[in-house]
Amino acid sequence: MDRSAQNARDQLLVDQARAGRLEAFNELVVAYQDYLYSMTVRVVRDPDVAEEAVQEAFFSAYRNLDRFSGSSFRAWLTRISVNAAHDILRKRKRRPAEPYPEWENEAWQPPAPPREEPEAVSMASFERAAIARCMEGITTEQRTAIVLYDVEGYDYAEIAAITGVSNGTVKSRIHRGRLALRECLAPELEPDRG
Amino acid sequence: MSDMSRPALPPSASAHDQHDPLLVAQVVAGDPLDPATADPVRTWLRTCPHCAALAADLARVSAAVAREPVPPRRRDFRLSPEDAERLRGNAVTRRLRRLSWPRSRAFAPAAAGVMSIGLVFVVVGYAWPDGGAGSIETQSDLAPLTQTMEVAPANSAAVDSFDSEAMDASVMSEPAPADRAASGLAQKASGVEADEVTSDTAGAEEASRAEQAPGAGALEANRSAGVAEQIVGSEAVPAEPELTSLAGSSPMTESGTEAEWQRWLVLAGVLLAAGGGALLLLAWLSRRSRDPLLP
Repeated sequence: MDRSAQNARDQLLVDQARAGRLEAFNELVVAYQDYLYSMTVRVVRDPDVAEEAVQEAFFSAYRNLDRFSGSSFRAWLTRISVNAAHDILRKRKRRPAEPYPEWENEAWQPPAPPREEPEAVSMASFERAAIARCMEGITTEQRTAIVLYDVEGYDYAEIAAITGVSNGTVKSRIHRGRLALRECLAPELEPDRG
Repeated sequence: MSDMSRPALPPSASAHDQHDPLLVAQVVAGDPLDPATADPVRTWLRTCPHCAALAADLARVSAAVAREPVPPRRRDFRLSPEDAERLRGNAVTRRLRRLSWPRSRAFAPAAAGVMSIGLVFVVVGYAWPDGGAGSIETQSDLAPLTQTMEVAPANSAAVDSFDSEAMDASVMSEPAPADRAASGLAQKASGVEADEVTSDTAGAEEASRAEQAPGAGALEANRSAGVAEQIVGSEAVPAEPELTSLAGSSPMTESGTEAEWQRWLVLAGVLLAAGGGALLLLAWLSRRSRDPLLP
């Protein structure tokens, strides 16, 4: 479904939810809960915090449906969720001690792409761990900008609107974050050079 | 990393230290840069193996971040009817929520500013230096002046000087230098401020001195004496009509104008302060009811 069709469907459901139809809002929840959770967990690096933030985001969206006037419900929801995530992180004032505990468990593996060799799966696991460690090392703002740009595919202007900063700040966060990630991943990158 | 293989770099990196990695990152990301900035960076990417390696690494890091898997969602976020009922809130909460608007943060300082201006108006209106223009209209305010006029012998001299020399002075065209003080006094006397009224004793003295220095100064001194007579009322010799007109507008009229102006100032201040306060309260209610997570 392209963006404009998605927006039209969302607006219809929002109107129905405003009229008091809870099922319409829950259709929106079903449509966006996977996206919102995966985006948020990448930003906060803690599944518990991500769940809390996503729940707060849906609660806040429901409470304030009357105030939604933008063109993209997805972007509106993303902004609320990012705000909720940052808010929770600020309140907790801590970094997760064990981000993605599933990865500490050797038994857990994300679904591997088809026809992948066992060696590639092992290397991918190593790469995941390195990326996860380095993503924790950059600031929450840099991480948010990188996730929204590299993973979710928003452009600079959309990220600026979501995070409430200027385009220049978004660019700076993305580039500085990537440079920091590159420096952090240097030990993993070096063997490939030789 | 599985997809990060590329040729080994030469050991020397001294030239590369001068290259800005942030600019390289911008060029790699395709950010629009002016040619004067972008062209040297493109040259680095062609000639400097470290910059080329940096560009390749950044592209790979970006791709690796995009491929990073996330743990699966563990719960369903759909709202139950109980959640919905709770989130809707009661009628008061809903009304308060409607009060909130996105710009309320900027609105509050503006409302506080309006209220402050109003308070300043009120304070200035009440604490005007003349102690209230309308205050000399009462007999109690005039009493000290009357006493001064009775006690100071110079006052009668001033009145006498008015009678004997006013007409002579009125024909003089050039003011004598010695009359500057008397002129200033006359200007003061045309006002209605309380301290100026009490200074009319000094005005009478100046008028006495003006007797010794014939000229326009006598006229000016007589003006102030005339004003004093007007203020004292029936106890003093009334001023000649033409001399009163020479002294400028009627002090009592100006007194009334200033008092009215003062009253308007205080009224405007009270209205501004009350309006600003009400808007501030509204902004506070708005901020309280506003959801902090909203854009």
